[in-house]
Amino acid sequence: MRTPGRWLRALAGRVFSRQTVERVVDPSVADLQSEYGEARAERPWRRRLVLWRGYAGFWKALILHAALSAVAPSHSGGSAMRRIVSFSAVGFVIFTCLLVYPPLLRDVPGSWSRADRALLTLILIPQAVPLSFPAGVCLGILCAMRARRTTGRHLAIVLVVGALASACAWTMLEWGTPRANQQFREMVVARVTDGRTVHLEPGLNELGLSRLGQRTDGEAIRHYHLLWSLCFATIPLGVFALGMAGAIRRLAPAVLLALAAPFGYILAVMALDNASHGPLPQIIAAVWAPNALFLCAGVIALAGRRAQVT
Amino acid sequence: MNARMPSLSEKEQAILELLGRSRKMYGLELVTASGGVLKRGTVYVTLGRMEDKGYVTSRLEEDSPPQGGLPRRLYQATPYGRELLAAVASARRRLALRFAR
Repeated sequence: MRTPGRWLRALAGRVFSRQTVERVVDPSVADLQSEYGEARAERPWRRRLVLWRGYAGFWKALILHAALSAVAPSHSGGSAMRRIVSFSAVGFVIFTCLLVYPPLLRDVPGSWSRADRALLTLILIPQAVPLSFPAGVCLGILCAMRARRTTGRHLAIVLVVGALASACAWTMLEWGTPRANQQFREMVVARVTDGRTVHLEPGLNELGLSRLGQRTDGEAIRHYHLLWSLCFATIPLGVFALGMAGAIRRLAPAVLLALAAPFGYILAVMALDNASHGPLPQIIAAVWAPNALFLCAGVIALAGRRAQVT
Repeated sequence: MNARMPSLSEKEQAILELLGRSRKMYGLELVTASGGVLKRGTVYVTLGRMEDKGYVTSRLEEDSPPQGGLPRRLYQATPYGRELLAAVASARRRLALRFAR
């Protein structure tokens, strides 16, 4: 019989510190294994219940531990990566929920079944991800790095996290979002036409980056460059957050700025939308301007803090 | 005044009381014996913090469990933890006597 919890322990060993593994992970896994071993002679449903209770306890302990260690500001350099990643993950989940639930609550009629609502939630997630990545990473960096002296290593970590998030956003914009948008349209039309399957020609929002790049009309070209700039938004917002984090001591201003920065980014995108019509260089300049703006602000803030230290 | 007063939460107090009664206990035993005050999802985080504060110590059990798997961790109250519990309990008793109506 396989010992439950072995792969969880191995995975946690790669993510968490030795102390966390010894104090939280190992005891939780040991309880899980011991209880499961004692329930070996019991009925299958009872064994399964014991197993699930053990897994629930394990995850609850880990989430609580991660949340508590994230809230307390740490000054050890080695934990910077872990703190940024764990805070960013929490921020990503928060912003994804913030982007998914308002349309669900506002636009879905009460007559829709729970299954339809669950499906719609899944469909809405891909379109939220390219925005919730930069916003989540911004929140993660501001909370994890507040009141800390930033070094070149921190900047490198932010750039790596930004590059990974950009790669995920690109994957989503190439495959996830177009398919989800198309499915959403077909789902809505099927409800209006009493379940008849209707094929809808994909619009700009239902095309991946590679297919958009093949189009030659002005609107598609603008949309294509806008999506590319959105793909990379995590890097400028991350650098901006790192530049500002050192000047913030308390959690509340860090969270406020983390909400304001992505909101300001979206406002800048919308404000420059009118300017992004015309020849190609003008389109490129207009859609990339918000990224350039936040990157410059971040670099200036970082340079300013470095000058203060030296 | 720079000296920091040691604090004892409700859960920490419950753990110290249980460890005071029987000398060494596993985390899950503490959860069962607490009658709902301690939860299995939070007990190890609380015990970890108590170790940091010096209220409890822990060590792995010497023999592996008969049914296999990882050895479990045994917890024990430190003299400091016992002293703090006694002080807190006595302070509460005095407060209760002083303000009880």
